[in-house]
Amino acid sequence: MRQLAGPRLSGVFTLLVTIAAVGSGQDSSAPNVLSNQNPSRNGVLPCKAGTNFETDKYRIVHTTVDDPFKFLYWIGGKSKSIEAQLAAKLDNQPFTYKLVDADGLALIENARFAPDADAGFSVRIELVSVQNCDPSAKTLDVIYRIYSTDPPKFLGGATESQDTAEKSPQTTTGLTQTGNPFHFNPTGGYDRSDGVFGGGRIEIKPQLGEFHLFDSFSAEGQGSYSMQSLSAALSGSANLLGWLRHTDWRINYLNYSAPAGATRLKQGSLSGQIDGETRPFWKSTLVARFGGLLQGGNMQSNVPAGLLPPQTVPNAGYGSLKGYLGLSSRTSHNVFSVSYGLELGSVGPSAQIDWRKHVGDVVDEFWIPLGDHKPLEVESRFTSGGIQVPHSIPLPARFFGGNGEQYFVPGDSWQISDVPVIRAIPANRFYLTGEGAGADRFTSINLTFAYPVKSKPIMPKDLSTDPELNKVLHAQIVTATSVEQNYYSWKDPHFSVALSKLPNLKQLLNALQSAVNTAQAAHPGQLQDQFADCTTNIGTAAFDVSSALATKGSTQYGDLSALLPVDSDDLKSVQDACVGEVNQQLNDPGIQSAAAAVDAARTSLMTEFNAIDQKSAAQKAASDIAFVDRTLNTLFKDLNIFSVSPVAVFDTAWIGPAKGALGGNRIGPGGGIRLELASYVNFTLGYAWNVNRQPGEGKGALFFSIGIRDLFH
Amino acid sequence: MGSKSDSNPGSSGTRPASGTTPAASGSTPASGTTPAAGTTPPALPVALKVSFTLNTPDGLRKVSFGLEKDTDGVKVDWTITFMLYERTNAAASFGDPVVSLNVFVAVALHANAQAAVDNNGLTPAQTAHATGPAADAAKAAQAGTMPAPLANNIIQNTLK
Repeated sequence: MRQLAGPRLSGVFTLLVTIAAVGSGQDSSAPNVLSNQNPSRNGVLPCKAGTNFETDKYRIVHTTVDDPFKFLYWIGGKSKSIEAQLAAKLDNQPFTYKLVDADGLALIENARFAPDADAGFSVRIELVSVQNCDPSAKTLDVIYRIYSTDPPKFLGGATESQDTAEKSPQTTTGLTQTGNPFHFNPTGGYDRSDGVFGGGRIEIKPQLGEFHLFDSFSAEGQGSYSMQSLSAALSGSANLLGWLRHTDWRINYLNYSAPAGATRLKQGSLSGQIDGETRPFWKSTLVARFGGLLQGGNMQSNVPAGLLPPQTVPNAGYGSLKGYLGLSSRTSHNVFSVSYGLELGSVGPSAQIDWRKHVGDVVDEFWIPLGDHKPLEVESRFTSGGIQVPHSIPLPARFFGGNGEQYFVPGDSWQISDVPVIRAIPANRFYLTGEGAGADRFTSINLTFAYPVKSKPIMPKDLSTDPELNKVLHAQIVTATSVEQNYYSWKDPHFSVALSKLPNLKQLLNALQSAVNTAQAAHPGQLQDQFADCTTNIGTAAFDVSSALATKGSTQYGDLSALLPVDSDDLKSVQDACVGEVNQQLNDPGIQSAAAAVDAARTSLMTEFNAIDQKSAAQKAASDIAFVDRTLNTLFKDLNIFSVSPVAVFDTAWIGPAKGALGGNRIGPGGGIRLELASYVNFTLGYAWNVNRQPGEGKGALFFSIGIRDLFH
Repeated sequence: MGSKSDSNPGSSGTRPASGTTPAASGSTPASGTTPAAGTTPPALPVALKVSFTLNTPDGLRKVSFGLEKDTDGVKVDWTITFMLYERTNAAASFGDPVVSLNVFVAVALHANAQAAVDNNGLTPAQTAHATGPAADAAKAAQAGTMPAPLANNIIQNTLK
């Protein structure tokens, strides 16, 4: 499906006004963060540490709820509702710790601000504070701060996940609303080739809770007086724990009809594809991706006589096989992807290769913070392609450039551009070469610079710089990494060997217990407390052993660890209690030999456990979490919920074979404005000039695009 | 199974002797002093609750390990809220927790509790203990095969 390129804006002062209204509405309804941290609130009184506000008989005047994600439609609604309930319950009431802690937090927890995580790891933070304490009037305000996140372990390619973080931060933080499987996003835009177009995307993603071959259905359509496109996909995915980190698969349907200067391009196809992504490597900065797609359908065009290039057919049924691979990288202020794709196509029901298409695509985006949440963003893309035609090729399979982007494979998770993009020329109108319509080679470079002159951060500065909150946010990543590390330690072969020693240890513990029982019977009424301690500790160790043997999953690691110094060292407690306390006084040979056997087993167990490659497990865990950590950091520290940015663009594109004014190079500088209101709307409006235009080409092109938030969320 | 000896004091719902004064003390301006124009005083925390939800990779067990820090202005108390969810296959819903416990944290472990919600997070050993022995002990106590005080101590040991 063709899309208008990057900044593509449309005319729309009305829309601007509407969006501005949304923006201002958002602004006005936004939380006051913490009232103490809002510099606009002068005269707020401090609260003195060490004061017992309950015994000092303070009264609550005002209650507020603060959630950084209050801008999200569904969290904002809950937040307002809870704030109203808390105000009704707390305001004008005498302050008690039970009232503000237990009762207040119970209300918040019952509201379920975060989705229930059934996989991975999540954290919820609730902080209750008091402020504006007036010691004369004995009044204060209560503030509840809530933060929840359930970051997904897999975020997709670096450049694509950056786009998701910017346009849908709730997805990156795992805060998409649970329960409602329907998602609908209206879209629209303008392009001189297509005219004003509109449409939308619907996605149905039920909470299935278990693995299903397909777990999502999506359909997207756009139309105008001259262009129609419809695509649909049935998709599934799986996160894996080996070198292959993630895989997804799709069945795609595509049907479009779009003008291309003097001709019209049509395509209908059905395809199946499967993609994979590796675990991060090279200091957790790179992931490799690969995939394949099998496609069949038909392509049509109504090209005028004389414009059909050699070895090109206007209409044909076709089949093609695509293979693609690439690398993707994310560092603190840079995302980068390089991809290569090869298509082998055949015309008609034939097994021969009629054409080969090669595409290379390099994308980089970096941002330099020049102020608080005011990053200078530089997006660059270099794309090149070539077609070899041993036999024949349908015309729509050739390259048609302009300000419409077209991707080599369907889907949002991997976007490999495969057409020359130049925003100064309307979609599909950069296509005439020395051989006719449609190029067989191209190169394009696209640069976009943006700097927000007006912005509102997703995480307000006073929150993002709050040391308490930052500590907890970091703690969540540490904890998530710990969970992953245990999994890899559990998978280590030395752990399996250690585990195999447990049945013998169980017998030895039973033997020790028997020896203790015999000794206790021989010494009635003596050392009762010491015998009880010994028996308890043997029981605890035996419980650990039984739990580890009974459990077949990674929780075995914790059960076995409890026996050793890495955790509570329950086997040493057995020695301390049974040998150190009991047998030091009794010197019973039965206990002595049984305890020595247990101690030898402990040593053997420890030797094997200590051989587990914890360093490797830690590295793998860190790799697993690194991309998520960096994405969350970017989201909280750099991204804005609302921003207005002037945009400068520069494109250059070349198509061939060139002959005179046909084909060759075009240069298109331009500018515009970009507005982003995360989770609500984003658009770019601009104009680019075709500075070395050739006969038949316009002076430039207006570009406009708009995406509106999911209306069901 | 009997009661484990020399385990942590202050378990089994018995509120231990309270800890130290809140960390915020000393950093707050004198009460009733109106701050200078354009500045606002920091809010005074009276409670902090951090809940870590840990899912095992096989998707069959979920542990919610919550740490709640309360103060009455003078003393600090820490409480562990521990919930264990289990299911026999990943297709089923977790439903209600198999075990839900509140355990008051012994004063000796307050520093570890603070570290867990600070920069450190939960260590690998702590997360292993929470999803393994602590969950098993909670379940055993629920089934009546382990005394509640012993189970509470094992749960508290997550913070060791």
